[in-house]
Amino acid sequence: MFVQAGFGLAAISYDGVPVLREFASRKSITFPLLADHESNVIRAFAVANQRYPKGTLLDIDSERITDSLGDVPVYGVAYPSVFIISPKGVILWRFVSEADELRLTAASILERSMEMIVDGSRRSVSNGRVQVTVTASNTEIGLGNRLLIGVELQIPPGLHIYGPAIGRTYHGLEWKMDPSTCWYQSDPEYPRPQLMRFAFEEDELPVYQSNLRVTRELVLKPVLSAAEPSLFRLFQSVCVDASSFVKASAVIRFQACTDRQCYAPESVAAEWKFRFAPPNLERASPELRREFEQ
Amino acid sequence: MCLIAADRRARHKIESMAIRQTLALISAALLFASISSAEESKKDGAQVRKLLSDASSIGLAAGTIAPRFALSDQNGRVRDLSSLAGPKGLVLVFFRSADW
Repeated sequence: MFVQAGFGLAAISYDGVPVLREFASRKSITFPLLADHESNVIRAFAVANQRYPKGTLLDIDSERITDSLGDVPVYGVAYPSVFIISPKGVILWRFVSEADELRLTAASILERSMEMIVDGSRRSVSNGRVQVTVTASNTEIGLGNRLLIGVELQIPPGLHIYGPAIGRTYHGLEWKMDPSTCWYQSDPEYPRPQLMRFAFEEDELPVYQSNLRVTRELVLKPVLSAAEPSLFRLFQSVCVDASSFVKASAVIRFQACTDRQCYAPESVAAEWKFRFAPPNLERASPELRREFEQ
Repeated sequence: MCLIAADRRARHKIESMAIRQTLALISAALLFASISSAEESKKDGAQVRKLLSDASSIGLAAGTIAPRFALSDQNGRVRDLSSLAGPKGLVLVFFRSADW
């Protein structure tokens, strides 16, 4: 996806070459995986995880710091981060996550960093006066994946809808996700509405008059202890349906008006559906694993 | 010596697994049983915003010069920015580990 957009792609971690070689062949990865075994580059980009001082051991099932010898040395491990660097070496865009279990998808990085919209899916949910379409950056999702979902409204000439947060007198655009324990979601990012003056109102009112796209981030909860069978089974039973889909739903409310009259406020039900990608809990073979160093 | 250590480790693992399973059940119940009240969901909102935001205090800022690097890839080839970048640049992803 990045290569088609004109970018090179490389991933970097504190692993050594043998671990990366095995990982690349097991996962059929062809882009470069860079071995920063001493974490020098991780530190130079200032993304070494400060929660893990020298000598820290992590129980990888519970993600807790322990003192048990069987656990993994994590000093020098990086925060999940993305840097987009120009060919001349300037950082164009960056995103660093303190949440170890959350990952931006490639499509969501492209849209966030250069507004390149990648529609993994697109579906019409209302064919009324104002047409409503829902989009998603991805069709597949795994635990902790962060993707972008969108709502697009096609507003025909002569009509407008009111912007969000317009107060109680008017029905402003609202995109409300149905409550779910399976997802985190960010607030919707509404484009800035135009201010228009109407004969019936003293103040200018915020409106949308042409096509508009609203996006928000949707994150499948990481279920921290994915390695805990009981918790994971519970997550599956609540969030994943029999045909391996996870769903998110919402209500989109708005009111279409002309200069002179308003139509009845509309509530449109919207649903997004993603194929669930089960977590990958495989480790490198024992002889390649990182050893504790004093 | 080694055997004793391994045995101790195994026992420790089993004990901590039992504790963890109990903890997991409790946290699972907490996670899924409650669809929180309005008050709580407001609090959750602030936490989620923090969780999802760019941790701007960590890592080099946009507009700064990226540190030079030369590292081996999985095939043992040493790579730097010029050998990795496409016409528009390079997407460099830091991830935790391919080991665990």
